[in-house]
Amino acid sequence: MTENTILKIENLNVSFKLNKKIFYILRDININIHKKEKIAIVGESGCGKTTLANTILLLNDEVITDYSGNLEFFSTKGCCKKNKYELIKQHKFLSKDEIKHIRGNHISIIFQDPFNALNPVVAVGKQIDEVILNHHKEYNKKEVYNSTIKLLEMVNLKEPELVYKKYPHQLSGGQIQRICIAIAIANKPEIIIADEPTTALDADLKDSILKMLKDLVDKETSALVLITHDISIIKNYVDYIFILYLGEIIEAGKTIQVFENPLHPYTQFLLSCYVDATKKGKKLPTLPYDPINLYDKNFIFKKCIFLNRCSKKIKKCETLKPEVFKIESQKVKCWLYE
Amino acid sequence: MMVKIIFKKMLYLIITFIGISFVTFLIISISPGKPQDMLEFSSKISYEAKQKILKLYGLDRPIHIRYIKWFLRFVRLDFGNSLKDEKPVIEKILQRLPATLMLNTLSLSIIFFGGCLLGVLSSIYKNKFLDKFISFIVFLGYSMPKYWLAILCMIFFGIKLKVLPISGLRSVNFDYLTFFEKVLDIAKHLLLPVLISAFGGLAGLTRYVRASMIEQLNSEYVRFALSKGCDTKKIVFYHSFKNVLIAVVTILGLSLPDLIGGGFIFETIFAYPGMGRLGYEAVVSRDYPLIMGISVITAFLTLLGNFLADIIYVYIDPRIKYK
Repeated sequence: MTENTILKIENLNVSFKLNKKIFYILRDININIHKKEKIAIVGESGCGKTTLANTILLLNDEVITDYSGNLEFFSTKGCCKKNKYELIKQHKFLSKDEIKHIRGNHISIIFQDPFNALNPVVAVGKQIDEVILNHHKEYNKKEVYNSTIKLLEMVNLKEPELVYKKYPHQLSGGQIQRICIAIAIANKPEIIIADEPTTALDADLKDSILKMLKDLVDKETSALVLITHDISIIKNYVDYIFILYLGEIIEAGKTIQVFENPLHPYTQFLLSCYVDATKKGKKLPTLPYDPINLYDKNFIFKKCIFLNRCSKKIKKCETLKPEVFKIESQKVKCWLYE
Repeated sequence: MMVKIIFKKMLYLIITFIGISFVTFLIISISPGKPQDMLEFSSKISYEAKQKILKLYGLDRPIHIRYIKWFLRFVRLDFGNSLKDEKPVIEKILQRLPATLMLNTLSLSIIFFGGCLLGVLSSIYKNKFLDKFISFIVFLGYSMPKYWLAILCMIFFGIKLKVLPISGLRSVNFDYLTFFEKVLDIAKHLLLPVLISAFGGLAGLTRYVRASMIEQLNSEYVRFALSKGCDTKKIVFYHSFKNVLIAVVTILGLSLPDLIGGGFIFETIFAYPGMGRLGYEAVVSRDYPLIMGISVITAFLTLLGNFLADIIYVYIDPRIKYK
């Protein structure tokens, strides 16, 4: 762990208890996020991306969720007395008041579906005001209003005074996502989590939103956690990539390295689907789908999680869970690199 | 724009209203039992006299003619006279209206404030003891017949404990009391009817608010509000309740006729001088003009309630703009 670490996720496990079965959603997650770093967590649907995003802010349903491992946050803002928050320590969490202090202030999040993220009966300006007021009780009405207008300008919304009074249904998806971004950056947080921020948007908007997000993150010197299923869009935006597969990080490394030299069969496969001009007219490869039940303890804790779909499997994969191997600065969870 | 919409809605209202009044008229007229039945079996009244009476009230005419006649008078706000005592129907209704309005306004207020409060509490403590306890209590009220509970309470509080009066709205010596004592006297008389009718009506709204609140609390915007650092109190009472209120207004609009209609049996048990008892008496004696008067006013209020709810929507739900 270096000086600059602001978020440390160590051996994190998250499980949901549903219908008396325990689903092991995330297993043995290790992620370090440094100051101003931009990372991406890439994975297919259902691999636990959103759960991971929610876990960082402890937003999962308290009743069914069980955590273990450590999740620590190191504040670099001068606003609070302490600078180390143990969000999750073994099975315990941070106190409610401290979580409230962190949410929206130190760590903020942008959700996937902008249409449902805002309260339909509250004017959007008021919803930005709220996040400022939650953490700056000392501001008066005028100050809050001015900051909100400034934020609306920062996310490139024209006529901010007019937008302030609008309701979510009067705005387009792109506009609402800009407002969500405004809410996320309002208090200049150290970490911004973007959970598939462009999935619900039109294709032509994706790049402009991501670019704006990146610029704002750079400007506010925040760290960015970009969560996505679309490996093709992140290349230009992040420094580091984590590949998540069914709740496990199977590969991690610098963006360029992972793109140039993918190690894990799954990553190799993902990148072979990367669409570019040379592949015009050719069919993209597909993987057979063979789902694993996330409550099947005998499989997920004893075998390689990618076993059923892997074309390069060896005998060892079926009997032993792969360890993490380090190849230069890349990490991979696969027996092929033993 | 708004004026045009209101005008259009009013037009619908009038058409629906005419339909309702006609169907009501039809049902009363073809249901067994006639106002002249009392005369029929009396040997003291001659056949000619009976025919004279029928003619006097127009009861010998066919239904549609009678309806048109009634309607033409009604548009001049003339509800006719009661068959029973010749008093104008409107006078009889106005005489009973305040008592019913008072009773039902009080009990509806309790239902709405209580229902919202209990529903919100239930949703916050979903599936915990408090939620189950609240559900148990409101369903107890819902499943117990009001008239039966009323009689039990009358026996217990009125006869055993002698702390509350059991019927009517005023004591015999009402006129001799000071102002403060008068208020207290009415309050005492109202206590049982108000509480019992509110107790029975609480379940529906409580469950409704609970379900709608749980739905809101699970929605994405609540999770987003949480991620902004809002506390539970703010999320429940500011963010979610505003959305729940939209549903509550619908029910509030539909409950408006209850303000006047009153419980026929309920008011009769408490010998409460309200519209319900008036309606009961009117039906028993087949007092056509009175029945029509009461049902027309109730129908009018139902429609007015819906109409008002439609208008209120525009103010609480920004998504609704009539075009």
